[in-house]
Amino acid sequence: MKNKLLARTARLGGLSSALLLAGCELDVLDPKGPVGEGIKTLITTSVVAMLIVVVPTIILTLWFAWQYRQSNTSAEYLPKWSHSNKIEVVIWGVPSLIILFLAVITYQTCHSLDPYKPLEAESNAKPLHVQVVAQDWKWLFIYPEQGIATVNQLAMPVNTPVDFDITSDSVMNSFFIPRLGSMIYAMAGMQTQLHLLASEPGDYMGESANYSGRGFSDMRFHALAMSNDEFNAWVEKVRASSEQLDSQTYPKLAAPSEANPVEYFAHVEPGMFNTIVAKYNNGMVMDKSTGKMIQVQQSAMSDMNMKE
Amino acid sequence: MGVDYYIWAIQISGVGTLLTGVNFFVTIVKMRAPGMTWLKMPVFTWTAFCSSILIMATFPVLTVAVALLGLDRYFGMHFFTNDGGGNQMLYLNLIWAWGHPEVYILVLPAFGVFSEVVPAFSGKPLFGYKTMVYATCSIMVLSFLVWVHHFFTMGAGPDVNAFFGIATMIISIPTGVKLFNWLFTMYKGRIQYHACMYWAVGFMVVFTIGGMTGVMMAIPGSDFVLHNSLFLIAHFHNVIIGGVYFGYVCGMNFWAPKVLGFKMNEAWGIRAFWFWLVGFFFAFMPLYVLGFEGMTRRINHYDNPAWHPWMLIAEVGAVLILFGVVCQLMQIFVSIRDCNKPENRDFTGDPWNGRTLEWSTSSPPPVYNYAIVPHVSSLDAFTHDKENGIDTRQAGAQYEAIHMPKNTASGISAGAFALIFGFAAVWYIWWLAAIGLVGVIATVIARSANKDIDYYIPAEEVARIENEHTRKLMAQAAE
Amino acid sequence: MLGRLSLSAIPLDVPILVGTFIGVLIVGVAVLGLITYYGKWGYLWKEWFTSVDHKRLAVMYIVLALVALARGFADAIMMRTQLALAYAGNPGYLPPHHYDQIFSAHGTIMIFFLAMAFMTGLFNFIVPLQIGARDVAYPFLNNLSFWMTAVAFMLVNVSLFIGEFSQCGWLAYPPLSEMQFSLAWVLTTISGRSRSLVLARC
Repeated sequence: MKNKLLARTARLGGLSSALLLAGCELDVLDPKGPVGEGIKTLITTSVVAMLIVVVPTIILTLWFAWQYRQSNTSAEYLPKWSHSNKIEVVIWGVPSLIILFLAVITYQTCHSLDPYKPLEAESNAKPLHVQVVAQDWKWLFIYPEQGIATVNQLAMPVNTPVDFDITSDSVMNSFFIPRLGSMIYAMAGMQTQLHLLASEPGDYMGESANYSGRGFSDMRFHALAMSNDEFNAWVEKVRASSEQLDSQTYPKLAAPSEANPVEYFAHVEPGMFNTIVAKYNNGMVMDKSTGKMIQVQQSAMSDMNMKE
Repeated sequence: MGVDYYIWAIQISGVGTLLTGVNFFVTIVKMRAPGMTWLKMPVFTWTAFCSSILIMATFPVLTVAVALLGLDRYFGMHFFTNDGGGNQMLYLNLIWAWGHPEVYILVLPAFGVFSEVVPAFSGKPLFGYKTMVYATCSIMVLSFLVWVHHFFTMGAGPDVNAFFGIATMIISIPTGVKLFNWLFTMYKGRIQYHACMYWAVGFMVVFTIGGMTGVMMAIPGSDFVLHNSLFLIAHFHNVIIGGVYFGYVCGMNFWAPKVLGFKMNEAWGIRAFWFWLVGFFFAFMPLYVLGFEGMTRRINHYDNPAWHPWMLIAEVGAVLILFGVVCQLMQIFVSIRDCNKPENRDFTGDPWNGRTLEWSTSSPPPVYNYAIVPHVSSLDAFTHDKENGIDTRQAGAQYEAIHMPKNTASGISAGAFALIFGFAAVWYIWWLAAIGLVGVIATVIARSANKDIDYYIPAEEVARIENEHTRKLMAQAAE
Repeated sequence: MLGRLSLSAIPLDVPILVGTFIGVLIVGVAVLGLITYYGKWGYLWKEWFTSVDHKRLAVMYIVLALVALARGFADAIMMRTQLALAYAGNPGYLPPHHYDQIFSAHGTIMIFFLAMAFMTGLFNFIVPLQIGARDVAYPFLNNLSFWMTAVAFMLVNVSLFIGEFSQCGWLAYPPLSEMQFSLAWVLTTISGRSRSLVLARC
């Protein structure tokens, strides 16, 4: 029942926001995936619910301010009146009801839009796994299943859930593709998770949404959503690169650089992501499936730490 | 060294703010006039009281957070670096455990100003005084329970996010009630539009929008796309300019005649208001749009052609606000220039037909404020006295000598040493830092040992000052 | 002897700061000169700087807040102008090193030295009068609080001309605010990279 109400208000909200914002292209309100769609519905629903109070408040403010101006001597003047139980009930009651409604949808959407919750595709496509590392000042994407890595370019097949594991090899950043939905912080020594899905092919802007220093403004990447065949061809293209990413070449990549161009690595050393996390976590990394801390191979790590 | 400047500026000003909090808390608890029970206390004092409690409760948290950051920087410790067992999110939790109450520290007094100004210029008592007090107190308590909404995107679980999101929204209920209280104070009133009333009505419109966008960001799901975007920047400027700044300027215009003895210029005040209001909309509404377009804060340059026109509009807004600031400076300049014109001078001490005690003494008040400490028997004590023909001042009564504190150079001396200490610590000039620190401590000890800190104003002097004011009042009344 | 302080800490290569410094110098000398000319030093010292009267402190707090407004607003309009210009390959007129300090200073100044000072000014203005008191409970602490706030604001402004301000935003989130990342910047400065960058972009 609640959901029916939610859907109805959402439709109303969608309509009004479409009217309001017709003509300008708003990435967040024109999403290209189910997560973004869910958030858009949430935003429009909540705005409509709040406008029930906000619009009358603004109108009443302007109306009272005009109606009861000193020069309007025909308006009623009650110099002693300062209390009314009826009004008190309304001004506490109506906002409370709206907040109650918003609290319910907040609780629901906290669960339904939880970035950690895996997505299911209609096509039952097997999720793509991507490991994301924020560096100074670029994004490294590791595809463990494909054994490849890229910098500042993220490709994914459409209608396929993408499972992101996110960390940072420097300061805090936030991994964000506005057209697809939620962002999540990238923090050194920690792994965060995010699940997104692109339902339309396209080249979407990706960025860092948390200021990280000098090169922050250029810390952008292209998120390319493409068909399965195109994705496979893209993987082959990356594999054709002459570059490799291992403990020898990693420090050079991780060194600070600004407006870094797109880079492809045909091969990436297995366990690279865990090594990067463990570097800031006393050599430990949390195993996602069990939640237990495990020791990362010492050799690879000490190798990477040595090379500044 | 840039961060070190930040650290020492925060720590030194933090000492000042904490002492202010303690000072006003004790003042309000201990020094109210006889008869002024808690529920006869003016709303501005209530908000100052709640703000002081929040300062006492949260500024130590800021001090500790920044001190730990200082230990990391100066002594290579690892409180907030992940290597070595620290955690950066510890800092975020600490800083926002201060940072969120801080916005209520700032905005509650602004609410207090409106709660004094709107009744004074509507010619009515405040609607729902008790509700206002309860709302203020509940906001004070709730403000401690919401800090995580500043980092929903750190990857906490859905239940944690839901708790902090819903707690945040709940604050909007008492806040909304306050707005309605001001609204119904204007209802069936006789509103006089002085400059401060413009700021008050402008606030009510602007702040409502800011409140709505705040609740939008309080919903974790929405925050996942709006966090750290220009939408956020638009939201908090919406509440800080529209709420805090409008409120303080409103208060300055309202109470200037009391403290300075002359009214501030109306024309420049109203011009400043319109420039600020229109400038605000031009400067910040585009930022809401840019937030939806995915533009993040703190960007230095960009390539997206869709963003550029909105940034140009925002620039126009900034220029309009510049005119607003210039008008405010003009207002101050013109007010001081014309301060002796009879229409600007406040001889009565009560230029706005005020409702609370401060309007019962002369403008500017004598150094001792009240020759005879007033007795309070009702809310809006001065209005009550005026209506019942009671002379709040008790002019002509038997005056007594008044015990007052002496001026002291200890404050400025401790401040100067603190500046030396801060500067030296930023640059690692340890001998100079030691001089600064020892100087501060020595000043405070010397001050504590000083017994010559007070004096008495003789009863004859009090009588002379008071009779002079009575004479002015009579002359005014005779005109 | 002077710790890390050296002549290179003075940003002579940033024309905006040199211009600002000259402006501050002229206004400062003019104000101090006028005070001296009218012989108001004794009056200021006796009646204002050392005053424990809450009404006097209120006025000083609000003057401080308005000075902070001027500084904080100058930062704001510089940022907006940068973003109106720095589009499609145009780097604008503020390199990141300078811009990042400006937004950090803007937030810090507006909250701690405009809003807090203004608020404390209003408390002092009115709370004792409103409750029928003759002053606050601790008049000396009130004066001390004011000077602590005022010198902290001075310290922030010293950073304009000697060294630099934080580039980590108004809340200085770690790890960006940690020493290892500040040192990285110092090293690039010494190697001349950042300086040449500044020149190239101006």
